[in-house]
Amino acid sequence: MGLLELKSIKKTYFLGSSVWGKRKIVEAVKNVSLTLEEGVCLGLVGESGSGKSTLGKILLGLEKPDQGEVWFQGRNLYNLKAKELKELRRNLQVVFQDCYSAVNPRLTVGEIIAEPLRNYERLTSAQEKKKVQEFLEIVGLCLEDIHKYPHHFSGGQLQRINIARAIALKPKLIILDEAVSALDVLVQVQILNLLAQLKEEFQLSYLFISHDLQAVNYIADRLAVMYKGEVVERLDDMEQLERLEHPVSKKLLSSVLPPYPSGERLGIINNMTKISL
Amino acid sequence: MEQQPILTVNKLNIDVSTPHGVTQVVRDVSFKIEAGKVFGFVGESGSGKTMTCMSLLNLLPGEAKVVKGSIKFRNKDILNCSAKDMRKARGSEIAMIMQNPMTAFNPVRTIGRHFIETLKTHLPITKQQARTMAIAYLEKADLPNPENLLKQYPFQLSGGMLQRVMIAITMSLNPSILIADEPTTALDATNQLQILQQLNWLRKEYDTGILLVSHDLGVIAQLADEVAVMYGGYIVEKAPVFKLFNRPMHPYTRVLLESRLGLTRRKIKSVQRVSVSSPNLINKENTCPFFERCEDADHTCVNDNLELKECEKDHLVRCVKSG
Repeated sequence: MGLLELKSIKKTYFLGSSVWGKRKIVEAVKNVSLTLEEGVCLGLVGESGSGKSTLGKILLGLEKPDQGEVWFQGRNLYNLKAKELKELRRNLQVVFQDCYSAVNPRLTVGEIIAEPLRNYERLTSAQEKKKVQEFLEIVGLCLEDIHKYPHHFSGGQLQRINIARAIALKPKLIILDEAVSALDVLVQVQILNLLAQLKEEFQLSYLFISHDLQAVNYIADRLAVMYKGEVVERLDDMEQLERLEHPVSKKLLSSVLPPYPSGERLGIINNMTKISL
Repeated sequence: MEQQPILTVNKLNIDVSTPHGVTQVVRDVSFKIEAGKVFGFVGESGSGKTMTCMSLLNLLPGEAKVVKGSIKFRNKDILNCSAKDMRKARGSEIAMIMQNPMTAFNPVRTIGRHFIETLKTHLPITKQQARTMAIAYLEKADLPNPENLLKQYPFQLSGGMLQRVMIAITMSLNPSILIADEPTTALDATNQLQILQQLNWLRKEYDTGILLVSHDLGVIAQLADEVAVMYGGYIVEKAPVFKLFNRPMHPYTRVLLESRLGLTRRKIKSVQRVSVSSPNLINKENTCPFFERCEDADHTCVNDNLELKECEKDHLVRCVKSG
């Protein structure tokens, strides 16, 4: 049995009110089953609107699924007493895309990273400070940064702070929801390297949600492709990436721009099969 | 035969005044755009790309000021242009596509109203004529069902569709320069290709000169003819696209090129050498902007001589160590 198991998850949203006319039904996730083993980074790719983020929210316990079960460490996430859930949730952390809105602008970095520690562990302020400094160092920031506020940092640095907060409780699984998509290329690689290093150091598992196949390919061990709320293809060996078969996966593959300008570079663009909208 | 450039920017310097002092956001930037050519700007956030674009349209925010340099569009001096002349030139002569198509449209107006308003502002035509024209251009941009599209509101379309509508509107006035500021950054990878195809078609069909700004080297590699790499407000390297990718000279360009992910599973180590912090642009001494993050930096880098030097034909580098 894996660390995380999703069993035929379904989530439907209703848009608009039923009184004032027709309701629009959006089936964000339909019948998704996935397993994530310990120590594995599973990449979840798909275009925007394919239900990746909804799935992420469901397994964090932020959105209740209409149907299906989420099993984490052998327990059903949606069938637990509040106290048991709290204990389980400490092993399940998240890093979001928008690093600025993920932190409270009125808290210092020290307080931001200490927040999960205060929720779960009883530490003296000296112990807490020592721990926060330790995590700041792990993610590559300076010890003086502890007193600064989020607006003093660039996006990349703030994302490091978010990562420090996520690993503060030494969780088992971190959900990375487009965690590097908003960053500059160079910073993106730095953060990906940091994540890979932390994975080894703390024996973490990741669910890496992204629309960027290149980033997923860089860090993930396994791959699942989502389209319109369903997992359409799975890959257990990233070396076989070129052999993806489903049309949606192929479309994602072909939209990765070659990194070098080649003689026929504009030819590639011109001869690309027109993609229907 | 040497082509006459449409837009010439010469030694542009822009300062922004902040509560902490004056920040030098653009320094000594010079480039030319020719008809039918694509000039690419690469650089990280805060390197001065967008500020340069804004100054070309004379749309700099209040705190920012051009302190030195000139911008010439054909024979017109953009910086000393009257507000009325500038208004005429925007859209019809120099057009711009913004990064986020979702916020570039007015949410309570239909696509049709945006389109027709733009056409009527610049051309002496009736509403009916403008409508016919709008439909024709939406068709040219390969957008399905244009008549229906005109009735729709921006929120009913996807980001990729909106960006293509934006390009269609831009196209309809046949500008000689198009500034595309991160046109694909907010979009999915699959939409990105379509937008690039469209920009490429635009420059071939209408001979439009394009200033393509991006932090994504893949985009630049596909479309640009000449590339300038910006760092800390300076152009640190400028070269034709093949030269730049084959023989990068500036240390920053080299790290940037090595950091492309691609679809190989190779681990990229070199980026770790570059430190985490971005350059401080306030009260900068005569030091190379990349000094603090550069792996090759030593005492010779603290130098007054920060010129952009030609190390090969058409290949310019701003580094004491090369050339």
